[in-house]
Amino acid sequence: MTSVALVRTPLSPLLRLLILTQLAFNIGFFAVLPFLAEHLADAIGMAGWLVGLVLGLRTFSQQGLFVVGGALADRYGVRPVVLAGCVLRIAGFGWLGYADEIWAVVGAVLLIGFAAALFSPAVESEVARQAVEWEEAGGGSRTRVLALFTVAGQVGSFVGPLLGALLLAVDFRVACLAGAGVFVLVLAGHAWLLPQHIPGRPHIKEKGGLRALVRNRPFLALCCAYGAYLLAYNQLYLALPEEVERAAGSQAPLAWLFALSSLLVVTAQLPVTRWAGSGSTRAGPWRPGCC
Amino acid sequence: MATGLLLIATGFTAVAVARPAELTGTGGLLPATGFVVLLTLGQMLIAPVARAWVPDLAEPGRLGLYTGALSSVSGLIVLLGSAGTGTLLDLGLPAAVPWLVLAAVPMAAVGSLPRRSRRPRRR
Repeated sequence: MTSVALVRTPLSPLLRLLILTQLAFNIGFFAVLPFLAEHLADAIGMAGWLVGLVLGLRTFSQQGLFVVGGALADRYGVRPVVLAGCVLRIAGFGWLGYADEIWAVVGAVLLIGFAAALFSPAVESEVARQAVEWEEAGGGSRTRVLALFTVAGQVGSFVGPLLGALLLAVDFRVACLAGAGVFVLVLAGHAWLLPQHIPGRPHIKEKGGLRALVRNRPFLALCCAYGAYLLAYNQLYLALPEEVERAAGSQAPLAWLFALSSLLVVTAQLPVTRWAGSGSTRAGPWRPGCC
Repeated sequence: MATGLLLIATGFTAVAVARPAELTGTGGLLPATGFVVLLTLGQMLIAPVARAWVPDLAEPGRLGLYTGALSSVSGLIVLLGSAGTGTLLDLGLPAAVPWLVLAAVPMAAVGSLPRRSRRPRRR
């Protein structure tokens, strides 16, 4: 298998489109998101608890509804779901840029969240499926394709706030419209390049997928392990600020630590994945039970 | 994946161990920096592998549902866990205790990992 991994097979155009999409998603999203809390508090005049509630609702309408968006992608195919998600995201950013009533801002934020619940699981699942096909065609380990996907996302979430901070010098509306503009590009790219029927991805009409899912113990165990990792990751925002403030007297070094983390992923993700992959074939299992 | 979770647990433990020394200044930031580096290394091992694993565990034709569910279920865990962590940090326990508890979570997750990482695919 190691010899196979050394052969460099170029990624398919579809995989490249999806990986670039992930980059664009994060640039557009993170051009606006980091500045949302301040906009809600200062320009809209929301109380602190309300800002927290709105941000929480955004997370819920996004993360919580991924399962719905994923099921829709299985039912109707990747293309319509991604296109609909992009349209909603463009509408949401446009609305947010012009909204000044609280109800309108909440509506726009929910729309922005729900849009991601449509396009993200569709794109993520198709990347995973394409990565498996690439592996089976002898291209190399699927994990490396997914590592590249992760790096693209990380670069986007690093570049996005820089772009947003530049545009915020004009005003928040311009940052929102730039975010919408990025999604117009994604929409155009997918309308042009994403096929209606992707070979090997059938549309499944029957219901009942959820019932099998909640009984799928290995999958639920994977969810728990992934949840444990995400919970640990969130300590960057919960436990770490307090520790940094204790040691340094202010939270200023936090920004440097976040930048260090991003930089590490961008520079070291692919070598780490390659190292981990070679470990599993040469030096025995590095995952429990890997035979 | 297990290696990644162990690295993260080590990161939390490093802060917990250094905490009673009450170091401040640049040296005092070392445990926090170590934590961030170990957490990021863990992330690099876990995130792509978890995504790569889903196609082996999903029912045929339902990869979208399973990919979405991975995010939704783990998001729910983060929501509940963050509320728990917030409470833990506010309890006024000795400063190292919350970090040790946080180290225990990924350790427990290592134990719960599915045993077989890949189902043989027949086509």
